[in-house]
Amino acid sequence: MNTVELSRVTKIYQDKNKIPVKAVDGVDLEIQAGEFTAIAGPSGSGKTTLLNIIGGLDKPTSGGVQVGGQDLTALSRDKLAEFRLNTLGFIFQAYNLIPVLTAEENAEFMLLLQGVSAQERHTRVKQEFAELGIAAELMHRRPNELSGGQQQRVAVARALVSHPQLILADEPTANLDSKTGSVLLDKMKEMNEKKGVTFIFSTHDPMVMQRARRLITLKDGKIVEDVNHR
Amino acid sequence: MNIILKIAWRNVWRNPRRSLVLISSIAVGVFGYMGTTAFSRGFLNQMVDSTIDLGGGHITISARGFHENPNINLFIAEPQRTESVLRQTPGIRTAPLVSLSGMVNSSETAAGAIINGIDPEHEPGITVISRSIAEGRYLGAAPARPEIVVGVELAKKLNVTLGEKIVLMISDLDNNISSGAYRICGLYQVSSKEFEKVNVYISMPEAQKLAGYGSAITACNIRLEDPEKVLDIAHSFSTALEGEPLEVLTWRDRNKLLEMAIATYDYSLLLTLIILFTAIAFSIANAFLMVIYERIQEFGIMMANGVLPRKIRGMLYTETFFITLLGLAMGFVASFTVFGYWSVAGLDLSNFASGLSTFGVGTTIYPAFVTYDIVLAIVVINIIVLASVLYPSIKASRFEVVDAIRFV
Repeated sequence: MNTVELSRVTKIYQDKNKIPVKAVDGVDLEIQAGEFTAIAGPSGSGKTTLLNIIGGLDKPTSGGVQVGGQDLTALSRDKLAEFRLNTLGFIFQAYNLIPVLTAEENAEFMLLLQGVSAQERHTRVKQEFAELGIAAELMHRRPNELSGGQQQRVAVARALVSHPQLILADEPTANLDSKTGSVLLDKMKEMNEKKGVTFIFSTHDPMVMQRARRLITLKDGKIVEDVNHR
Repeated sequence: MNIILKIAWRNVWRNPRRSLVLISSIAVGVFGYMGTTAFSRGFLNQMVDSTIDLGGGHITISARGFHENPNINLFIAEPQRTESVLRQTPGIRTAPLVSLSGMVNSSETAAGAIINGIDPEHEPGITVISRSIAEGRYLGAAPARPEIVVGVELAKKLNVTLGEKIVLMISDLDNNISSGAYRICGLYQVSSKEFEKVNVYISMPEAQKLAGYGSAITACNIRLEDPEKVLDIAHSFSTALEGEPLEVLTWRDRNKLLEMAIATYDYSLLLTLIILFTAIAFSIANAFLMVIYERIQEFGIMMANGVLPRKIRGMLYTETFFITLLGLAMGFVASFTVFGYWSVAGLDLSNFASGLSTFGVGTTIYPAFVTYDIVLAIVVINIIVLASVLYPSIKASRFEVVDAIRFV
């Protein structure tokens, strides 16, 4: 079953001088449930834009976007927010935790929005923290009291804990040292294999590309290579 | 606790200095407003008390037209009918009055005067004169010789002292000059110097004799145990005395200027509040615009994770609400502490506001708190402050998620 289906997706931005720039150019793409996919390419190739379109954070100028059976181009802002809450998990390059919440509260943030009971939240967060190797004493610390690696683990836990169909990770290892990045990628790979969660990475980190079962390469907004290592 | 409430509360303390500035600006506004209103209410209350305590109680029944034109020919010829109506009403104290316009003469000078013929037994239940004797004593029930109580200010003006004789002169019912000599038995001092300068008190039989009234009186003054019932009781008197050539006036009817001041005060209060807090609202809106620019990326992350735009707005409203509540609480605590102290001890303004006695309020003001003013402050301040963050919060909820996440 396809989790993501893009057909002839184009995204045109206007740059600072109001000149149109094609960030994504007629992309057709299908990603099946349970895939561990990396979208690679040089800076400005359209990786993040493509990821944002798949995540409903950005709308294509033209083309169709189906994720989890939903046509994202037809959804309103509120419906898109609900869709993201119930279907997706995001991991950002800059961790992007909410600074006033503790590690535990950040991790359970989406569960709180989904109305999951306190006991269920606590159980799931504790389990994810254990699987991601986040020590119990870090649970009540705020993001500014955590290292970069610890923050990114919490961000991964936040993405995983609501059991989404699809996790979109935008350069998740870019701000981490290679050891921390490697450990975290192994954990995500393990989640993918154990739980069947679909991962799509935007990256130019060789460690991510090595672990990806499918590697899509973009150049000037077009897919120039799509290699499946299965 | 709801996650949005939790984030809003913690955001308040994220930049404590900025929040404290906002909270303080609201608190200072509340303090200023409460000070203005408490002193104004105190001033008005003291004017009302003065009108009631010096001017004949809560209700006055007199001949029709007497209040507008205190003519000697306008009197209650048969007070027994009025007294029988009053006797049937519980919760009131009454006293008859003969009020005459005339002259008071000492050996040195003369002055215009309002001569109040009173029943020394019942009058203390109406006015404060019997309790305001500064020198000497109040009128006796059955004095051997005609006696008079005058104000301290009038005594100064006439250059007379306790025990001296003064002469009262009026034009009686037959338009003849009628006069009598009275020995000063007491000097009274009240909050209004103007009142002291013109009002003198003699026994009612003496006043009736001066005017040639026989048993007639000019008014019957009534004081209520429950002042809130003034309109109901006045209405019942009017109904019971219908057809009689009498008028039933409440203290509000007797002092139209004060009535108007009270009626318009609520509007001026609301206007003051709106002007004061609209000015403060601009600084709050400015602070929240800064808050929003600092947190654009955070809003983007929250929306990316499924927070609805209206919840972003709700979070900012809640944050503002917390700041407003803290500002209100701080302002009220400071107001109740400072003005509450003065409401008991009084604030002596004699050094720079001696003219206040003209209004009958004395130079010591007792600020007063009114529930309406407090509720008005809470409601209006919340509305204005929340309105001030309307634009910033709408702006925050309208960011495109992808632009917000990229914002640095």
